[in-house]
Parts: sequence; structure tokens; C-alpha cells
Amino acid sequence: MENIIILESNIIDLSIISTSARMLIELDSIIQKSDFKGKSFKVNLGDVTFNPAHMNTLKSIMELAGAEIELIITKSVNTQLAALETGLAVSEKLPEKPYQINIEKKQESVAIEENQELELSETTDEEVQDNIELTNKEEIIEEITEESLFPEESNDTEKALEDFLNSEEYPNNNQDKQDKNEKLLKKKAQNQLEKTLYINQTLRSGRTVNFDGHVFIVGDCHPGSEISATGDINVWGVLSGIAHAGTDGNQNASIRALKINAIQLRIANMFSRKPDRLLAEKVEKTNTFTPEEAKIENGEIKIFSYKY
Amino acid sequence: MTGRVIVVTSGKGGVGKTTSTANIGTALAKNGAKVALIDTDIGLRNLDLLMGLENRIVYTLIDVIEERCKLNQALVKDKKNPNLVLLAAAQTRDKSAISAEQMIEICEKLKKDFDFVIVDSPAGIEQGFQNAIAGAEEAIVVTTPEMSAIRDADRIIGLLEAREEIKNYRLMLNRVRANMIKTNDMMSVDDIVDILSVNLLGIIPEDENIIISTNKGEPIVNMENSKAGTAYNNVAKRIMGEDIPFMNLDPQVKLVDKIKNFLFATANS
Repeated sequence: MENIIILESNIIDLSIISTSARMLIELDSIIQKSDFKGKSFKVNLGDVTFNPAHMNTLKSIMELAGAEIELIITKSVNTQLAALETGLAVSEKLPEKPYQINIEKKQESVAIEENQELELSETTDEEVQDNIELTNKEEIIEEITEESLFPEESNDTEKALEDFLNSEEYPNNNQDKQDKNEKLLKKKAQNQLEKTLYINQTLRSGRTVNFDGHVFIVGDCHPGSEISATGDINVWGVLSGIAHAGTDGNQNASIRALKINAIQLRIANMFSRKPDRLLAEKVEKTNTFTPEEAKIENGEIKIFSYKY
Repeated sequence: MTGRVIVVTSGKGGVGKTTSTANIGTALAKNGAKVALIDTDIGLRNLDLLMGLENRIVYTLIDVIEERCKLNQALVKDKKNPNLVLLAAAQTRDKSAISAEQMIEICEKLKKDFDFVIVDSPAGIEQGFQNAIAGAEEAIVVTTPEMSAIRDADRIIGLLEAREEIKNYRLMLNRVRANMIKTNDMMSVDDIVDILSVNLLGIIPEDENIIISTNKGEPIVNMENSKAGTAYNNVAKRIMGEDIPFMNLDPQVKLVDKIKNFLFATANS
């Protein structure tokens, strides 16, 4: 299959292949054609299930070639467990891949697979050869990495998060590497790496914010404004509009504000509304902030206040 | 000299934009300024009715734009005050008959000859509203103390904030009933200013005389002893830069009335 290797960020992307057995065959054939010695790779297994036996085979294929597996990227829980058992680091998400050249070609290769159901044929071998030659040209790779700013940013963020998490404990060289990786993953999950949209103004009625990630607003959100985010929503002010957090189904998203006065709060697929008003609405003065957080607990949206 | 172009807008209909335009314009003219009023509510024109100039309209805003007449020919002088002119809207067309650029042109021309150009905006946020704010540098947002009007005013203020050319917008609270504020049935002025986060220009109390003045075609500022008239006069002075304190709107209950109320239990307020 063409262009599975993306050498700039050392990712071997096998996710387009549908079964674990085929993946292993493919990996084997790629290894035989190129030089992996001394390099470290991230292997993307998509959502295919690998049992521990498969995982061991994968590990030994790489070891025979003299390469190291830095990270296994997979969406399947079983594969994650198998990887952890074999002592490999695991992540659910792919790092950003903005390199235009490779992405275009990758789409082509997916199309071919769907339409033609190719086994490894001669033509595809040649194309793989071409790709390997292209990516082996180190100068081209370096040009690309310097021009595109985006991946550097995300690497910095990821590195910054890892540095922060690692600095929490005294370095313990005796600790099992597997333990360390597990702990790191758990902590990473708590301190998510998602992008945050920072808005430094008040949202009046009619304004909307829609973002894939967390949202942080410095200002009030007037009634009639709507905020929706796949992550958390944080309002440094009075939230009086409609806020919808965890729009992609994430029930762990929360909505925080210095004062929650929202018309409706929506988290994932649940929503709750403000009690009906009985009197002409009295605005509670803004110097009585009561910092609050709304989360789903036991199947309902609850508002927790922070005591001080 | 360049005049000031002020648009009077609200979002919600029926809160008192046209009444305010007529009265503020008349009050400014009484203070000596040269004032031009423009009605941009094409198809539903009302400003000429309130000024009592309906019978004198020959050419309208659309005639000027479609170049059937010169701008001077379309300006109708007020009955009582020669400093005040009106550029009326057309009743037979609709708001799509004019574009924002054309409005800007007209405002630029009028600015040269007048101290104040006051633009009466139609209700809504569509083409009519956008035409009205096109040539303006200042805005007066009119609202009544009701949730619906306030919500719409918030939207309008958001739209005005987004427009760089409008450097200054202030709130005018209309139809305020002090007795209802006292019994907590109506939102207080402070609450409204808090919700909208905007500077206050004036508070106009509810006044039955407004209905009378509209039917007569005579702006209420010309009527003596009306609370609303006094309030509008104060607003005009504030626009000209004077610092007038806000009127005390508490109903003044005289001792005689108190005794009457006690004895006869009539519904006086």
C-alpha cells in the first residue's frame, strides 16, 4: 500500500488496512524494503483489534529491523490494553498531520483500496518504492518542517504538557517504564491537550460561538447569545445565555462561570433550564459573584458552587 | 461646518423612535440649532404625521435618490420653526428601494448645511435598519422597560458596537412608570442600565399627552406642563453638551389628594 510511512513525524499509519493480520504482513514487507535501523516510530493501528499475541508479533517485527516503537496509536480499547501488556506506550489520538503532500496521496491510496481490493501487486510495490525514495530525501523533509508552523506549535504544547506532568514527581529511575507510561497517560487524559478559544469581550444577544475544543470567555454572555463547544465552556463573567458543552457526546464536559444565570445549560445530550421567573427580573448586582460549575452527575446536570 | 448625524433606533417596534425623533429634533431647533430630520421607514412612514407636515410633502427621499428632484426641493420646513426641516420617506415603495451607499451620500450632503441630522430608523435589523445606520456617527437606542424591548435593544447595541463608524451610542428609556417601579412591577432604571451596560441619555415618563400630541400633529415639547415634554427638552440639552440631572419621576402627591384618596378611595395615582 502506498505511502504508509510519513517520515517527518515518524508515524507508520496502518489504519487504512482493515485487519490485524494484513497490517502485520504489510509492515513486514515495508520493513524489508527500507532502513528502519535505529529509528523510533509511532504506529497507528486505527480501530482494528490487536490481541497480545499480535502485539508481540508487531513488536518483534520492529525489533528485528532494529527500530523502536515509540507509541501505539489506536482507538480500540482492547488494542490499548494489549499494547500496555506488551510494555508499549499507547495514545488514542494522532498527532496533527498537516503535510499537504502526504495527505493528498494518502487519500488516493484509500480510494484504490476500496475500489480495487488489491493484494500487493507489482505496481503498488513500485509506488511504495517511489514514496520511500521521496521521503528518504532528507533535505525536502527539513524544508517542510521549517515552513509549516502548525506542527511545531502542537509539538510545543504536547512537550510543555509532558514536561509539566513529569515535573510533578521526583525522577525515579527504578520505576518500571510501563508504570511511568500508564501514569503519564492517565494524567494526560485529565489535563487534556485540546485547543482553547480565548475570547476577550462580552457577548451580546445574537452572538454565537462554535468551537471544536474548550472555550474561555472573558466577559459576560447576555441572554440571547449561544456558545457551543466540544470541550468545556468557561465564562469569566455572568453566563446568561445558552451554553452547550461536550457537543460531540463527551459527558465529562463542564460549564463554569463566575455566575451561572443561564437560560439553558446543555452538556452532551442533556439539557436543563432556568426556573420560570415569577417577578419582573431583578438583576443581581455583578459584585455578588458566586463561582459555579455545571457537570453531569448521576444522569443529571448539577451545579456545584465553589466555596471560599 | 459639519453637523452631527444621529440615528434613533431600537430594534423593537413601537417603543417611541419616531416620537423621540420628532421631539428631540424640535427641541434642538428651539434651542437655535439647524436640524434636519430624515424618515427612513420607507413604506410605513410616520414622522411626517407626528410633525403635522403630512399635507406638505411633495417630494420624498426616494425622489431625491432617483434624481427626480434636488435635495433642497424635498426638504419641508416645519410649521413653527424655520430651523427645522423634514426629509420624508415614500409611502408607495418599500425598504429595498434604497441602499446603504445612497443613504451615506444623503447624510454627507445634509451634514454640510445642518448642525444636526437625525435619522429615524425603522424597527428590525434588516435592510431598513442597515440603511438608517449607514451614514450615522452617533446613535440613540430607545427602549421601554419591558423584557422584550430590552432583549432587542441588547441585540441592536451589539450590532452598533460592531460598526466602527458609530463612535458613541446612548440609551433612552421611554414610557417609564415610577409608581410601578416602586412596587417592583417594572424594572428599575439601574437594572436596565446594568443589563445593557450602556450610558443613559434620558428617561421619558409615560404621559397620556403623547397620544394627544400625535393625533394633533404637534410634538409634545411644544405643549406646556407635560412631563414627557420637559424630559425631551432635557435630552436635547444633553445632546448639545449640557449636563442636566435626571428628573425625579416620583409622582408628587399633594396633601389634598391624600385626604381625597382616603375619603373617597378613588383610583388616583
